[in-house]
Amino acid sequence: MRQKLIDKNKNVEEPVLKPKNSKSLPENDFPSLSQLLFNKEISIEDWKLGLKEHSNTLSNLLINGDYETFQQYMESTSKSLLEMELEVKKETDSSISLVEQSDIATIDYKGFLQELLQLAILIEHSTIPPYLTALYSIKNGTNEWASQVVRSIAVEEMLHMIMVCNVMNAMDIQPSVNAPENYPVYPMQLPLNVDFYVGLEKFSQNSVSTFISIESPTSPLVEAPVYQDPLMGVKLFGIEEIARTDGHWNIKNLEEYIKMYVNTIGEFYDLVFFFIVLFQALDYYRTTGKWPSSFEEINTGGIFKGNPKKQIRPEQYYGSGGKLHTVESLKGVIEVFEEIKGQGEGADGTVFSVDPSQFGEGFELAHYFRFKEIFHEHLYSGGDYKPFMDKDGMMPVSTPPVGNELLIDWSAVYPIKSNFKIEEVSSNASLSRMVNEFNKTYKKLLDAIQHAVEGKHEELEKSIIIMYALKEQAVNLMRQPLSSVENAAPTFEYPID
Amino acid sequence: MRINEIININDFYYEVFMSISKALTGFSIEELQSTGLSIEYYNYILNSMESGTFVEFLSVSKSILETSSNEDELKKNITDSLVTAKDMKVITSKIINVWYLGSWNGTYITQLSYTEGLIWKLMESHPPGAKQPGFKSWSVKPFNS
Amino acid sequence: MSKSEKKKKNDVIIVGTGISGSMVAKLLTDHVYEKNENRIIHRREVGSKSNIREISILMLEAGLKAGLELENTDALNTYSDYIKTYYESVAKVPNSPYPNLKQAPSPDVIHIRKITPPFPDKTGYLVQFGPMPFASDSIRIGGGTTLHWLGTTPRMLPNDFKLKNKYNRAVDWPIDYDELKPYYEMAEFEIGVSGNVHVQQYPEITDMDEYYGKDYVFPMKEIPQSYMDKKIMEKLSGENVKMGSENYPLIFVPSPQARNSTPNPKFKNTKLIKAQKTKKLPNYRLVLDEDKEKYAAIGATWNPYLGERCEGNASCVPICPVQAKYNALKTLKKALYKRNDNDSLTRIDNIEVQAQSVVYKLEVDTSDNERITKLYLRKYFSEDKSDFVEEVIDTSESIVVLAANAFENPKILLNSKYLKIENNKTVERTVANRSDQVGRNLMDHMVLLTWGLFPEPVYPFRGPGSTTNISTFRDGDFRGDYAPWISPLDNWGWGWPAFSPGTDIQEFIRNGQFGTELKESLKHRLTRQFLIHFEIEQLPHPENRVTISEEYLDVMGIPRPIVHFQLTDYEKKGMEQAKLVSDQMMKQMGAKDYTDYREGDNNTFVYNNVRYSYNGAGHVVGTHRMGDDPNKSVTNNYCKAWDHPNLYIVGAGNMPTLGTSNPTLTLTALAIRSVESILSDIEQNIKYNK
Repeated sequence: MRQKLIDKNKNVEEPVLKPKNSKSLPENDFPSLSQLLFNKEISIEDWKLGLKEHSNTLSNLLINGDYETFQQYMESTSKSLLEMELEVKKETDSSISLVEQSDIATIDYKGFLQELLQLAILIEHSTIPPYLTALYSIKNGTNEWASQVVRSIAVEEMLHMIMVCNVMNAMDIQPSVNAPENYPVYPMQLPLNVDFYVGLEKFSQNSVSTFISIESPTSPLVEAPVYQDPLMGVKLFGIEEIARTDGHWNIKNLEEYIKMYVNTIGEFYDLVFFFIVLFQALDYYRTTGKWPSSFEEINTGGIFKGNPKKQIRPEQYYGSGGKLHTVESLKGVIEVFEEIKGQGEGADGTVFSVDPSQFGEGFELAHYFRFKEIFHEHLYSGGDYKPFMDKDGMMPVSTPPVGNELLIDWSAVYPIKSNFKIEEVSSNASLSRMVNEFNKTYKKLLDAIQHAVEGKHEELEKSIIIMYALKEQAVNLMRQPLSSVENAAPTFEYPID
Repeated sequence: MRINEIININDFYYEVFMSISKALTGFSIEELQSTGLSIEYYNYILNSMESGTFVEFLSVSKSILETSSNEDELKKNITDSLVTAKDMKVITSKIINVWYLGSWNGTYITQLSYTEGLIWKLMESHPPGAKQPGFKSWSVKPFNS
Repeated sequence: MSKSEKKKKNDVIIVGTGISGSMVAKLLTDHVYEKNENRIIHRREVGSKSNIREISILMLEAGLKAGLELENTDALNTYSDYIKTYYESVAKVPNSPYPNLKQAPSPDVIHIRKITPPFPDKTGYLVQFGPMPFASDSIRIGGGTTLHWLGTTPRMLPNDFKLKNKYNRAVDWPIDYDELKPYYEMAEFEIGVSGNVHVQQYPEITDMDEYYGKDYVFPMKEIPQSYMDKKIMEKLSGENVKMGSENYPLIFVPSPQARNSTPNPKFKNTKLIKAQKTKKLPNYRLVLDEDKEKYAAIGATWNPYLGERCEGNASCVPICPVQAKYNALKTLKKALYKRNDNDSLTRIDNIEVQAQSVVYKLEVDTSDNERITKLYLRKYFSEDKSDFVEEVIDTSESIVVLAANAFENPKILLNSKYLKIENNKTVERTVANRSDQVGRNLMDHMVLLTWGLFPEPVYPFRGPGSTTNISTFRDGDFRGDYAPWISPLDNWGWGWPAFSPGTDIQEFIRNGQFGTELKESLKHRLTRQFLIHFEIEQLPHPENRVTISEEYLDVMGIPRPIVHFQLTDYEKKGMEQAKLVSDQMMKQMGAKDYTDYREGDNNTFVYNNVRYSYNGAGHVVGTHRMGDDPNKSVTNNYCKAWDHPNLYIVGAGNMPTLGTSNPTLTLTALAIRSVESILSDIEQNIKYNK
């Protein structure tokens, strides 16, 4: 019931069916999948273009359930792979398979995916403290609608984080959420090609506009506050090099690629999805000696070696809104990514079709639209969108809500210091202890999630109780004056013993 | 005893109010501030009583705080000059009550003062209808105990 | 005073938007009339839309319009106002969050006074002649009293339906437990009950599999029992108590509750309640059928993702801030909104809800089979002003369903007089009252409370009001002699009988405590408090009744309910026995008993030289009982008035006896069952009026 604004009828772009084995590509074109994967001679620029195109295509096909086109796509890849091999054989008289010779096949896929999925965890995690800070800063008994919106979104982000852990566990990759290096440091830039910063700020038009940017389906729509960039030059990935190859398939290139081409969280998940499918296909090739041609061939088995008992199941995290999906196969990965993308940005692309009945229930809307409702102080529901519609009844995703009025009291908020740090109150023992107590509780929350994703599911129940305790501690902090104009705030830092 | 300095309000008697409240309720200044209502309480009492009584209370409190050099002395002085003193008894019990329950003469001082009563935290619970502790919390010991 | 007549004809007019009215409306709007086949079918079974005729419904609600907001920010704003009012109320009684309207007043426990006969107490809405004040309240508001019910949902026991036959007491019901069982299942689905069927255990029932059905499960898993429950059970589970000459084992049962928890995967999909045509009267039978989607908890009316699970607000009575506890607004919303082709909810237009409309009289056409032909109401414009308009609704082609509660239903009926010629003499009749039972047999559970301090902290004032009950004394041969009871353990300390924690604070301050010492005393006292209920069954008594008189009117000139009420030795002896059981439990727990009954209490009496005080349970039951005999009951077993072809009277008033169950689940099952007969009447009306 959630992804109401996904336009299921949107045509996916025709996949590139290019069996040609041309070594140089025409300008403004991109390599076919077989070229991208197995042709060592394509340029880094073509590699990036190809990655962008194919990650997008793959995810569009499978997330929309278009298995037929997917099959054509894979079959044509398989065909062109054979042609490439024939050609190579002609030239070198070697019988070694192109696939086995490729850079991509030599990658330690677990390590590679671990890096990518830990980045996904960081992205999800990095949204939680800002949303919670804004939420807690709203004074009790005011802005109820906005509070409930921000609260449910924050909870859903936590759900996303857990689902990413499910994806990792399905592939027998150990997720980590509670280590010091898992902590976001604020203000921070999402590790994507974005130009805004996310910080721990009170509920305000400023912070809500940042939230809109975070959840943005396309480029940021509202000008976001500009901070100094303490993270400039920081590496996205912990491990220096995973794949020791001379080809393009290494973490360094990937990092460059993400910073250049991945504009939204949705696109990031497309990329992750591409690699999961790719490694699954390579595994299939290794076992069967041929490139897979249908979804069924790669849906189960292969890299999905994880212990199903480690999966967090819906009944263990009930009552937060949003669905929790378990992952035991590629199908599960698709469900997870569909849910995450659907909840965040909703519309797939830049337009969505206008059907007034879609706007019936405000809480069914994707995060992006719910934040826009708050920012513009109007609901979508009850609005007339004819002025925004084109002849096909479509309108830009950035169309503001013009429905029923939603009153926001931007002043009923604690005047907390933005991006507050514990070191700023090191001279005040009692306040400093309060901040640290909060951080300990936050750590307990992450610990509970960590234990749960390691298989102790009963720990997840605790996380719900901890969430509520966290709020109380945060609000108590936000009521402690730092000066005549500013109050303290939770810092979401790794606690000090 | 030290009269605690309060950062955001420049009013000596407010500091006296907070410091004596600390001694009367047993809660720290931070805990009192965490109600988010200490200034509201101070102003409310100031405006709702015949000004003489509260000023008298504050000046007695001030001298108690200034003359007591340790906890035992403070306790004794509070007992003698506030808790059992004929003219201070009533206002003292009202001030303790306002921190614990948020009410003054049978009405809540602000819309939020019910939910900010310190009694709920003390009994390791929460005000019914607010600050809910989450599903299943009631079937285990309270989070902080 | 202006007057207007409504021209539009409705198939059904429902008075009241509480649980019975909303449930009837929801089930009716789930169905449509199939013109080709001349019968009523469920919406989901509609083939071609051109062949259907919608059932048109008008609902009338005495409460404010704002209380009927069911969408988005409007619904949230109304509900937030309730919560704010609750925060600001010093006496946080059940009615405290909700507006007490002068145009539609409600009985409120803060208005209960001791009565000095023969003078009535007129403090509140009820005119109480006593001699014992009626101790319960209700609220006239969109969603009705379910807004402040606790939400405990045990079914009645098989013997509760046949007290006369089994124990030679009171009357038997016109239907038995087995007949009602399928409707209990429907009620448990619609309300959304959480619980574990397999741990339910009741006296006199040896085969629990038969009671609930072997594979039956509640829609949601059990609400966890409180920490306090567990501590008490550690001490008392398996212990015996003596009553009379016999030993009884204490049976602790986790209570089924209308409070969201985790959906039970074994419940599988959500359900449809759909009508099937049968040969057997009343020609329609409701059955539970699987729907397409997985069962999901129903959250708040404005935000489906809020309240999908209980959050432990510990304020079920008077208000659940997240609507995790069921209230009838959820069912009302299902009556008004249906899924469209786009799978979104759309407001349908064949049902209208008119607020601020106080129904006070029905009119009968004696020449037309005594049909109800007119309904009179007074419609007010704002909470503050007392001006109103008179509105008369033509009901000659409609079915009227009174669902206004067990005070309001008899009040409307008793206020509806008509003249009739019998044996050449003109006699005055009262609507639906051939049996003279309208208004009679008013019942409530007598709640005897006992309280004490547990030897170690049990951390009360947390969680739902009650999560466990002792079922031992719900049934047994002693019922021939004195009343049975159910004993819920209460999670909210001494709040109810002693106004804790406020009174504890005042007590210690009065003793000169302050600072750390005060803190320690309070902590010690308040973390150990426990409270036990003994909800005693009251038998129907014809003189316990609601009447009206020209002498006592409200601001709109509508009669106020006059209540006569007293206890018999049957209930008093039940309380005596319950107290003796409590004394033994206190001892076995090693608890310090703080129970204190005083002469100044409102509801108090001395029995065998011992004083007992009790409270009301909020179970206002029995003023229009159903039965087999038109001369002894107001309605038949489908809640249809014996005396009129187009009048149904639904609600707790239908129940001939009370049993030891909280009545809401049972009254809901009865209201659901009445829909079978209503559908049959609608079919006849449509055919006849075509």
